[in-house]
Amino acid sequence: MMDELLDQFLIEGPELAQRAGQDLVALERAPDDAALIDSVFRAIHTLKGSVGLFDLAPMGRVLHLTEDVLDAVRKSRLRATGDLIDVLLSVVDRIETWLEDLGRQGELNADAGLEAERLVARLTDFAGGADEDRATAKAAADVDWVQSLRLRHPEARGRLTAVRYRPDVQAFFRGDDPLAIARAVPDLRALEVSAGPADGAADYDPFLCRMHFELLSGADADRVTDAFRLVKDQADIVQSIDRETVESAPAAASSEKTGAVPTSLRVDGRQVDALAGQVDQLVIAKNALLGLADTDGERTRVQAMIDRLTTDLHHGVMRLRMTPLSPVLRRLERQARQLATELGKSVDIEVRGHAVEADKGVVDGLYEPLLHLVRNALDHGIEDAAQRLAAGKSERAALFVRARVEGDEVEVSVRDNGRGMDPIRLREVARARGLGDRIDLEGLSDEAALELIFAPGFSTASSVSAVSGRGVGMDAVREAIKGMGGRITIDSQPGLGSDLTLRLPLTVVMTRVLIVEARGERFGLLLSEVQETLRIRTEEIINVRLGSAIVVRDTVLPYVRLADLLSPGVPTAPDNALTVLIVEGAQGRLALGVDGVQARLDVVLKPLAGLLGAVRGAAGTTLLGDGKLLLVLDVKALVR
Amino acid sequence: MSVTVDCDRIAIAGMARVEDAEPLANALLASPDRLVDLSACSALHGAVLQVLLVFGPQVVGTVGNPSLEPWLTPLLSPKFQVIPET
Repeated sequence: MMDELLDQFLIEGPELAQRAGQDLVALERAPDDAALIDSVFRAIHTLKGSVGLFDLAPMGRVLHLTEDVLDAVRKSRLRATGDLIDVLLSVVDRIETWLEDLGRQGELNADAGLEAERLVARLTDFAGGADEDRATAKAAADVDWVQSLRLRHPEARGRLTAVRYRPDVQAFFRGDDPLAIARAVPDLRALEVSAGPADGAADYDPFLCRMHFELLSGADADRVTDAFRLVKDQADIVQSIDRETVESAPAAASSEKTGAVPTSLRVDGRQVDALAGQVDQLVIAKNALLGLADTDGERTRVQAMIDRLTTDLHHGVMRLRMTPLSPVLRRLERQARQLATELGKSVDIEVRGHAVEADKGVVDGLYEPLLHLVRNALDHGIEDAAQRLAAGKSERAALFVRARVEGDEVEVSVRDNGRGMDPIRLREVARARGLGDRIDLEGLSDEAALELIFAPGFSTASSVSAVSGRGVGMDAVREAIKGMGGRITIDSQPGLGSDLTLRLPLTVVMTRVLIVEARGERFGLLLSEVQETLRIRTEEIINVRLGSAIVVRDTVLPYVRLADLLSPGVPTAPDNALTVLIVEGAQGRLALGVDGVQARLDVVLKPLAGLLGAVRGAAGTTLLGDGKLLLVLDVKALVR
Repeated sequence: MSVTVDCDRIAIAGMARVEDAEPLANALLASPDRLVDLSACSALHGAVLQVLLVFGPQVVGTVGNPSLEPWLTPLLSPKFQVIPET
């Protein structure tokens, strides 16, 4: 039972933390938005309630105090300043980390207590500023009234919204009928009213309102809040979960929360991954059928059908893995604000495209590269205030991160209006770093010079700062993006700013490969790189100064044997009839000699990991229908 | 006028409005032992309910009153509920 509760908590906890974080970032722009404050409060309150079920003292302590502080904000005793929101965001970050730890190792790290103390100290500064210990006592009492109200109405079960409504003394004068307001609460399950003691009845003024309502509603807190919208400041509204109900019917409780027909289903990501893996296997099995293909019409027809169904199924499963970018972008925005503060730069940071969805793998892989780009923009791209003023720019800089879908790609751009990149300076730096030996720096166009920042060992920062200097260069960013099947482009104007754009496939794509033989082994080539397949005779190979060439339709193309590329210097017996593939290499078209061409396959390319990751010219691997591993070559990288 | 005061009984009829709170309070102040009869009452303004809660008179005519909304009955809590005389 405890495990089930913990599982449930590990699903709901991160969602609540995420909601709190999202609302806090929004609150930064609208510090007086009562609905946002309420929403953060409720998220933290619910988290706190759940944490109480487990042995998570440090987390409980932090959440308890956070709730107090938020309550003070809610009651307008404390203002949601930028400083306070920063602290609250740190709390949410920490909670998210703790939840991750909890999910991974079943307990908090040993240093959790210390971390908690640190946060408690920062929170206490604000809580103390609000009204000493009253906040704590108040929050505890708050929870008590909900608990006791529920105890008095055991017939009202499940997820309920509890309201404590204390109308203004002047309510009757203003023409309000508090009773009617309380009565208007949707799905009212219990209503209690008191009007204070009858003492001093002699000077009782019937026109002063002394009523006090407590009620329970089966409706969602949002709808209940709506009923009190005209007297918002007079009602405490708390979402309350009946523990018993959670234990007996967790699924029902979670669907009730949405208040609507549950059209979405919460599925463990690992199950989707497993399913995706099985579909990949199915694609492989389908490809194995190719080997059995014959000219028999019926078999070919069935095979085409299986082919189509498999592709549809693959797409369907890939759709399941689509997740919104919002958590990544929110984390990025928070991190960006923190970095700007650390660097002492005043920057307007705008992040858009939270609703954009992409494959989970793509979304997960985006954070690190994006963070690096944002760090670079804030640290190197954006000047300090004095430099900006001297350059005739506004003192506040701007940083935009925008995500959108372009065709079947997700495009995320990081744009700043900082100093931009100067091609002349980039060449100088490259020369100073010794890159001139490898690259013809003067021969580079200005556009190509911008690409120098992706060269290994290049960094324009004259001093490596604590923010950017983490031993990861732009080359690593580009490799990471390429590893996900994406690319990165730069656009920069000296003095005006830079725009770095990442483009990644929305889903993990099926890659068409051509299987070829060389030196008795099978290799895959990306079909997109193969233009045509020819049979030539050995005599057609012309020996030129350093190598060989062939003439294809009046065009001379360099000729190389795949076998020689893979293991240069090992002699192979020349044969009299050769298969040649015309491929697009890094320096233009060339003819690639292979020992034979087998089938074309749709495969799911797995990026190379571990030791194989260092192999130059390999695009990835895939499993063949016969269970053997196929190395897929990247001709562009192989032929340089 | 929806509040009618007899010597031992106060009858509230129809919709009790905010202005009915004062005569009701005065009547109860003058003679706290009076019964309040809600048999003919269909709805109460909060101010009227407040008077009933503050003075806590014996209330009749709520239980089984078809025109009065059922949720009002438990509000006028059981301690001063009496079964209406028939």
